[in-house]
Amino acid sequence: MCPQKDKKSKNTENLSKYWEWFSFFGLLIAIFLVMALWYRWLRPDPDFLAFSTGVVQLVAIASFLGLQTKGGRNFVLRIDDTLGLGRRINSPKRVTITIWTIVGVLVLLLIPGSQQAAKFYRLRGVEALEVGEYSRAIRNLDQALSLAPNSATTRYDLANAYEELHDYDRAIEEYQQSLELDDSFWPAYNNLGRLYLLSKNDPDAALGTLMTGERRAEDPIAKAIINKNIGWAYLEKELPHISMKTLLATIEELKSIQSEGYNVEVYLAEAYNLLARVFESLGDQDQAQIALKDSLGYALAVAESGACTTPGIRLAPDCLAAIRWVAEAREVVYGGEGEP
Amino acid sequence: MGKICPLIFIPFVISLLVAACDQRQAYTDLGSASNQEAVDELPNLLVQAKGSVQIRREGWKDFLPVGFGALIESGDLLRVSDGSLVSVFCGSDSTWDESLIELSADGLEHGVPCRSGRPPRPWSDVAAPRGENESDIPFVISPRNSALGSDRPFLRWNEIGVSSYTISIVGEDLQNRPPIVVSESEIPWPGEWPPLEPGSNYVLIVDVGGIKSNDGNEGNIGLGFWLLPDEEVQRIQALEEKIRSQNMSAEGTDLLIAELYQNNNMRAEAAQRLQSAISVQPSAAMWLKYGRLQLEIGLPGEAIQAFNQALSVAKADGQLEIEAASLIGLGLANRILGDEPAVVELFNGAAVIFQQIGDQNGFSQANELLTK
Repeated sequence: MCPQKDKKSKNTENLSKYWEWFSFFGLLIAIFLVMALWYRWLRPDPDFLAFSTGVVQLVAIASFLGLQTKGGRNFVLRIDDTLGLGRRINSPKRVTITIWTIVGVLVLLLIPGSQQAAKFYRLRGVEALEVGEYSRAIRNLDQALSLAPNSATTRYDLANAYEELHDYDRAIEEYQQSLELDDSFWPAYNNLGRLYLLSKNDPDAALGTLMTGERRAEDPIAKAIINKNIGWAYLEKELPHISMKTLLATIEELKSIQSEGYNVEVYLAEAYNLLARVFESLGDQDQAQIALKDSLGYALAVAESGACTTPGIRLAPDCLAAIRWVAEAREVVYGGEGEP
Repeated sequence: MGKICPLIFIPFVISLLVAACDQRQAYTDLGSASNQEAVDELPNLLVQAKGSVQIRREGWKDFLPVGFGALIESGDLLRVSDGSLVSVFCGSDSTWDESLIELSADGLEHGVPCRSGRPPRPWSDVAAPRGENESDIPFVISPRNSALGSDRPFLRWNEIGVSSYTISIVGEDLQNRPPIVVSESEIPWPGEWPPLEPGSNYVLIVDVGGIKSNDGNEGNIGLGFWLLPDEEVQRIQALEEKIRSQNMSAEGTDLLIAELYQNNNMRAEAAQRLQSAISVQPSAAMWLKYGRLQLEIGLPGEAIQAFNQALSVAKADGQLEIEAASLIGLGLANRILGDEPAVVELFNGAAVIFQQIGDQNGFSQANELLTK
């Protein structure tokens, strides 16, 4: 099938059956590996996968038909002559070694190579997520998942991207899959619980998820963040006293974390905002106003920070949330006076 | 199956190899983003406050006036009236090189523009375990209970109206520093004495006809001073230069350097800086700061004078928080002097004001001090 020079063809006739079968077996594996690589790398883009498959099929048919003609064979021989492959790989043993070397390289590319590529695409996805390019983030994260489908953190990032695009059903699905892959990954519990409140209005489901997450979380920041949302879930369940207790304890915890130098203003702003809602539901307007002013203090610290005010930079989700809390507080406390 | 051509694989292999190399390179480039600098934090401070400036701290019911030298924290709200001027210095050392942050004088509330900053120390950490309370003893005012950056510090003690004082140094460095007779109650480091050495503790003793500055305190508790090692002094000087490089008023610079010195236990030199700043901007916050420092040094009499100044300015300006804090300071100073009835009254007064403004932390601290 493969064009060789006459001299080479004569040598080939003397190949032992052993070398022939060994080469043939290697060739089959190599083709399988190439297809696996091809599929893994192109799977996230079904259109391009279909297109490239069609192109390859056309090339294969054209090659097959071309090799049946004298012109076609001469053309391939000229290429071979130019590259000098026929001169270098001129014995059955060399052919076999070459094929199995290629198999080795392909295996390396398929297994550790795919993992590395997945990391690379995940990083690109996370970068896109950070600058607010959510569609690009989804493309890259899909690519990473195609290469390494069992990454809980990549699924979590993908869920984040869907959440930012307000595709809550897809986000919930991805958070759940992330937890199926790693049931100790607390951020997925937290965000999933939050989405049950935000999009499904299901405080029971949220509480179940958040409480599991709280038990799984180990560091104090994680626990405080989840507890804030547990306080929110209690509020939605119309249990204001338990909600208040949870939120006050969370605020104390967040302040203690803040005193160690961590930036948790955005969580404090949200916790006070929720606390204001709790006081409102209890009919204590004075305390609600104080809590809203406290929320305003922390929200302004975030909203007026360089990260949220630098021109030309897309607003991060924390900035947007802080700006919203500033507006809410100003609306209630000062009747909308001032810039939101 | 006679001829097998590897040619078909070459483009695939080359492209995949190139892709793999590209990925490895890109991945390596992202690896070194998380190095952190060492932190030497100062508090976030108002280094300029002219006109009508108000603050609302977390939990407070409303805004209250605030002035130069006030410490601000994340969560506070600041309101700057039209025509007023406020500059904030953020205490995190990673932002010291940046210019001061000026808040808009738009009458609206603003958040604290700093992401971190050293929090204030609780009162319980401030008061020295003992202090001077006899006006007829030439007790040492400076240096005492302090680290020093200078190996020839200025010496100062209580003036008791006599014509001569005999001063000497008790030191661990075994250097010969003979007693000297002087007529003033403050002098530069005597030329005949060898300078201080790092790694040794010293105590200044003032003797007036057998009455010694450490009478009743033979263990010299709270009277020691020591020279910081050279590398430590150089580190602090470098930070000082960083502060000086800011385009700031002289009193603002003095305030920040005093805070830096206090961070490093250089209380004697910090007190000098604060005095210098107060001479230009005698705000309530500055007097309060000075009083706290004197309390820490173990000079309740000096502290009481400063707290009374703070109280007077705070009352005139309606700065209820500083009024309450000054009462706490006065209470602690009086506790050192042994006037317990006054202490209770002062702490109670502070608790009432803290409750009035909605400062739960202050209220708890006042009550905690009452029960000690």
